[in-house]
Amino acid sequence: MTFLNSIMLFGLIGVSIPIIIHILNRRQARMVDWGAMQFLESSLASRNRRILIEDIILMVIRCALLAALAFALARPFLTAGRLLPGAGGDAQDLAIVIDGSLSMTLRADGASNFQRAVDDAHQLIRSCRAGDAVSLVLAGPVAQPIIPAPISDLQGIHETLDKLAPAGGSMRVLEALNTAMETLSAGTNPAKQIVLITDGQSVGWDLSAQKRWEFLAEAAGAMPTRPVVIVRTLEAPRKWHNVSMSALNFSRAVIGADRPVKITATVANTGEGSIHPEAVELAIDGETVERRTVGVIAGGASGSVVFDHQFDSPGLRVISARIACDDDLPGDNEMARVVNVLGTLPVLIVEGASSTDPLEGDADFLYLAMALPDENVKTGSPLIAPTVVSAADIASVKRFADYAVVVLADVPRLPGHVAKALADFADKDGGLLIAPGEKADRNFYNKWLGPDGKRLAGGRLARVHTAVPGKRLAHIAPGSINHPAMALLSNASDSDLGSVPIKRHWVIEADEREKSVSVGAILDTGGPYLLQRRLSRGVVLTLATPLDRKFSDLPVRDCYVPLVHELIHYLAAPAQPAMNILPGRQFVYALPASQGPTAEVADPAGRRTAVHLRKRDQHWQATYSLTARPGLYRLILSNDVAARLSSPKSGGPATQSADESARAIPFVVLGDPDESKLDLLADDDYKRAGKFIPLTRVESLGELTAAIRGGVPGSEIWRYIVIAVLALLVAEIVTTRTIAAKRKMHLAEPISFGAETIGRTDTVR
Amino acid sequence: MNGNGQPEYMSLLDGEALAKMQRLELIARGVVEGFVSGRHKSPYKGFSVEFAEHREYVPGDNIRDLDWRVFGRSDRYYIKQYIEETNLRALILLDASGSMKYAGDLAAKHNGQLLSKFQYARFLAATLAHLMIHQQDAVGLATFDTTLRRYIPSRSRASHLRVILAELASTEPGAETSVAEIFHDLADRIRRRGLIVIISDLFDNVDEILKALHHFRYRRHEVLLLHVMAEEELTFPFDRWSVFENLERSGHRIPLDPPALRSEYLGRVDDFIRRLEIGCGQMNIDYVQMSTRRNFDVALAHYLAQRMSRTR
Repeated sequence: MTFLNSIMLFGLIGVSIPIIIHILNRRQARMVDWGAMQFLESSLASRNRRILIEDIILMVIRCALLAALAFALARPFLTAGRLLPGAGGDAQDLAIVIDGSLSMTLRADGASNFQRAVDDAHQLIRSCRAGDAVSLVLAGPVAQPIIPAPISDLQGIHETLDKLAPAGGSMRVLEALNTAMETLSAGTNPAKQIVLITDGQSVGWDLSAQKRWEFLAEAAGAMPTRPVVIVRTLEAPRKWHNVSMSALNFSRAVIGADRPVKITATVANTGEGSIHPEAVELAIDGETVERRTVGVIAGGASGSVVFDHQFDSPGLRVISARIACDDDLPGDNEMARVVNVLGTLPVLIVEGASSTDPLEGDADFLYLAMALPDENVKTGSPLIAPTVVSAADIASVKRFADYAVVVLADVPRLPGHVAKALADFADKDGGLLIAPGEKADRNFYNKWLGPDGKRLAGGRLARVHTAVPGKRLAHIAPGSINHPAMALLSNASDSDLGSVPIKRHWVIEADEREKSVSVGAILDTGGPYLLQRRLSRGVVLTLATPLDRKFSDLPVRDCYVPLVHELIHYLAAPAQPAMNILPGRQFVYALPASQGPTAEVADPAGRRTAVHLRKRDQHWQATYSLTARPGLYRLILSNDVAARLSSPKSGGPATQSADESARAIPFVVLGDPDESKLDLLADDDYKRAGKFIPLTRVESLGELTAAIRGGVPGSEIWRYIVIAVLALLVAEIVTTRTIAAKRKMHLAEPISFGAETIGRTDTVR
Repeated sequence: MNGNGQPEYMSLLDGEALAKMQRLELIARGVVEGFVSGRHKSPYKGFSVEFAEHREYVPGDNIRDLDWRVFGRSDRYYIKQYIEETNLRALILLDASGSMKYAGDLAAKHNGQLLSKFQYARFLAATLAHLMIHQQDAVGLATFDTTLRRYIPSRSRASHLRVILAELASTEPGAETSVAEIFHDLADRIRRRGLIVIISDLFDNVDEILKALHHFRYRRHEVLLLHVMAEEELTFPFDRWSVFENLERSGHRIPLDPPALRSEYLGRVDDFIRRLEIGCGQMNIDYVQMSTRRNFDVALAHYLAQRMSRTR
C-alpha cells in the first residue's frame, strides 16, 4: 500500500486529540469538598468498571474516527489487487509517448508509421474511461511534453494529435520515459500508465547504460504509484531501400577563405541490397556548387565523396550534401553543417629575443610561415595575421582577447600580471602555444599556474637534453602522433616530420595524473614532444622544441609551414562559435552590436520564435534553447544588426542585404546517422528493459486497448475509508446517546426531600 | 462579645427566627417523665425529690449538686442525681462530624453568608433550645462525631440556655461520623424518658441508624429526627470532571466525571432517604427533612406548626 497524499498522514497525530482532551479535563478538574462520600463510593463501586468500559469504547471510536479521516485524506492506494473483488477500475493518468524519430517517417502501404502512431493514439483516447486524464509526449532527440500534465479534455487531445509532426533525429527512450513520468506526476489519478508507440527501432534505447535505467527505475519508484509502461510496436517493413548521408566532415577545424578545404561526404546504404545513387550534390548556402557521382554501394556498406572547395569570402556558410536517390526514407538523404569561414585569424607571436640577422630571431621563421602567402592560395591575403611583439614589450599588449592564438617563442619569462592575463585568456577560449628554447626559464614555466590552480603547461620542464655528438639524434616518432593538429603530418610517406633530427630538446615530465593533460606526440627518445592541457574552453599546447633553428632543422623542412598552420588552426578552434549543436543544447551566439533587444529564430519546420538578446560586456548575446528538432535553424536579425556584424573572430552573414536569409545567422542541430539503420529491438531487449520498470509489449491496437482497460494496477481505497468514517461517526453518536440514556444523564430522577421536591435538573452547573 | 455588647453565642438566636416561633411550642406527643403537671404527660403521680444515683461530674453540672462526701472518700467529683425535676427533658443530639461542614453554593444565606449544614443545624439547635427553655422544659445538648464530644445534661433554668448556646458557638465540625454507635451509647446512658432531638445528615449505614433509633424508642424516648442535607447532595449538579475531597477523612479524594455517575448517585441517596423515611414511620419517629436551601426558621416554623396541629 502506498499513499498519494502522504503528508496528510500527519493528521494521525489528531488521534491523540480525544486522549489529550480527556487528560486536560482530568487535569483541570475542580476540587469539591464533599460530605456525602458514602454514596459516591458505593455508586463508583458498582458503576466504575462499566463507566470505564463505556469511556474506553467511546474513546476508541473517536480515535478511530480521526485516524480513519486522516487515512482517507492521505489517499491510500493498494498497489496490487482491489479491496473489493469485482469493483470497477479507478480512473487513471495516461502518458502517450509517440516516437517522433526520423525512422517513423518511413512510408509503407501509403502511410508513415508516425501517422499510424497518431491514429493509434486517437483510438486509445477513444477507449478512455470517464475520469481518465491524458498527457502527450513527442519523443525525439529531445522529449517534448506536448501536453505537459494529464488533462481530461479528450477532444482537445484529439486536436493536438492532429497537429503533431515528427521531430526527426532519433528517439532518446530514457529521456522520453522520464518526461512522461514527469507529466504523470502532475496528474491526480493514482493509477499511471505510459504508452509508448514506436516502430521498435533499437537506436536510443541505450540498454547498455544500466546506470541510467536504474536512475529511471528510481524515479519511477519515487512516484506515489509506479507507472506501468506499455510499448506498442508498429510493424516495420521487412525489406527496405535506403541510403543516408551519414557524415559530412571538413579537413580543418578552422576554415579560412585563403585556401581550399576538403569536405568529405559519407554515404551509407542502410537498407537491404545494393543501391546506386545518382550523385552527391554539394551546396553552399543552398546553391549547388558541385555534383559528384557515386558508385554502387552494397547493403550495409558506405562510401565517401571528397569535395575540394575554397570559399571566396569570409562568413557563416551552410554546407549541405545531398544524395540524389529515390529511397524509402528521404529524410536522411541530406546533411547540413554551418561553417564559419574566417577572413583573418589574428595571432600574437611573443618573441623571446629578436635579431638583426635575418632568420636569427626567435619568431622569424614563425612569422614567415604564417604571413607568407601559401602557394595553394588562389586569391586574397593569408588567413593568419601574425603580430610580433618582443617579450620585453609584452606589457604594450592591451587585450589578448583581440587575438585567437598567442605563441610564446622561446620567451624566458613573463611579468606576473601578464602571465595571469594569458592564463585567463587560455581559460576563456584562447589558444596558447608554448615553444620553449634555450632562454626559457623552467622555474617560471613550472610555477605558472592556470585559473584552476594547476600547472598551465600541463607538465614540468625538467632540463634541456643535448644530443651526444656521434650518437643518433632524437626524432618525433610518427607512430606516436595522435594529436588532431598533427594528424595531417603523421603519415611518413606524405610528411618529413618524422625525419627531422632534433639536436636539443626540453625534457618534459607530463602531469600524468591530471585528466586535462594529454600527450599528443612523443620523441623517439621517450619524452613528450607535444603536450596538451585543456582549460575551461581554451587549450595550451607545449612543444619540446622552439619553432626556430636553434634546436632542430624543423623550420627548413617541408612540414614546417603546415605544422605551424595546423597548430594555429587547432588552437583557434575553441574561439569559434559552435554552429553545429546537439539536440537539446542551447545555441549561444555573440553579436557585436544590436539595435534592438529581440530577434527571431526560424526552426526547420519554418516556425518562428522570438529570441531575447542580452547585453554581455562588449557584445549582445542571443540564446536559443528549443533545439529539439534536428535540421537547419536561422537566427534572423534586423537589418541594422546584420549590417554591423563584422568580427574577425566570429565572422558574420555572407552579405549585407535586405534578403532575410542573407541577414540570418544559420546554425544546425545535428541528427543521428544511426537513425537510418532500421535495427529493431529483440524480445530479450524488452526483457532487459523490463528489469528496471514494469514493461509490457503489445503488437496490436486491440492488445493495447485491452492492456489499458484491464491493466490498471491496484486501486484507491479512500472511498471505503470515508464510508468507514461515516459509520464510525454514526457509531459515535449512537454510543454517546446510549451511554447518556443508560446513565440517565439528562433524566435525573427528582428526589423528594422536605417540603418540596428536590432534584431539579436546571440547577446543573 | 459582638457589636451589640452581647456574647458571641447570642448571635445563634436570630431575632426574626425567634419571632416566627413566638406562638409555637414543642409539645411531647407521648409520655415524658417530668414533675410539673401541665404541658406534658407524666408517668408519675405527684412531686418527687428522690435520690436516684451518682454520676461523674461533667462541665455544666451545677456545683451545688456535688456530693462532697464521695469527693472526700474517693477524691473524685460525683453528682448526686435525683429524679429530674423538669417536666420535659429534651436532649439535642447535634452531629458535628466533618460531612456537616459542607455548604455548597445553593444553601440559604444568613447575614449574606452561605450556611453549611453544621451552621444550619446549629441554628436549629439554638432555636429549639430557646423554644424549650421558654416552655420551662429542660434541654440538654450532646455533640458528636465518631465519639461523643460534649454532653450537657438537660436543665430547665433560663441560664442553662447560655451554657447550651456557648457550647454550640464553640463547637466546630471535626472527624468522621459514627451515628449509630453514638446513638446506642446515648440510649444506654439516658434512662429517663424524654425527647431526643437529632440534628444530623445521618451519613452512616442506614440499617445501623435505624437500629440505633429503635434503641431510643425501646427506651421509650420520643425521637425527633431533623435530617439536614445540602441541595447539592440531593441534586448532584456537577457537570465537569471534579475531584471530590472527603471532608471527614483528609487526603481521601475521588476524581470522577459527575454526569456519568449522577443517576446512580441520586438513586442511592433517594434509596437512603426513603428507607429512613419508612424506618422512622414504622418507629413513630418524627422524621423531618431539611434542605439547607430553605431558611431554617421557615422550615422549623413550618414543621412546628404542622406538629402542633397534629398534636391537638
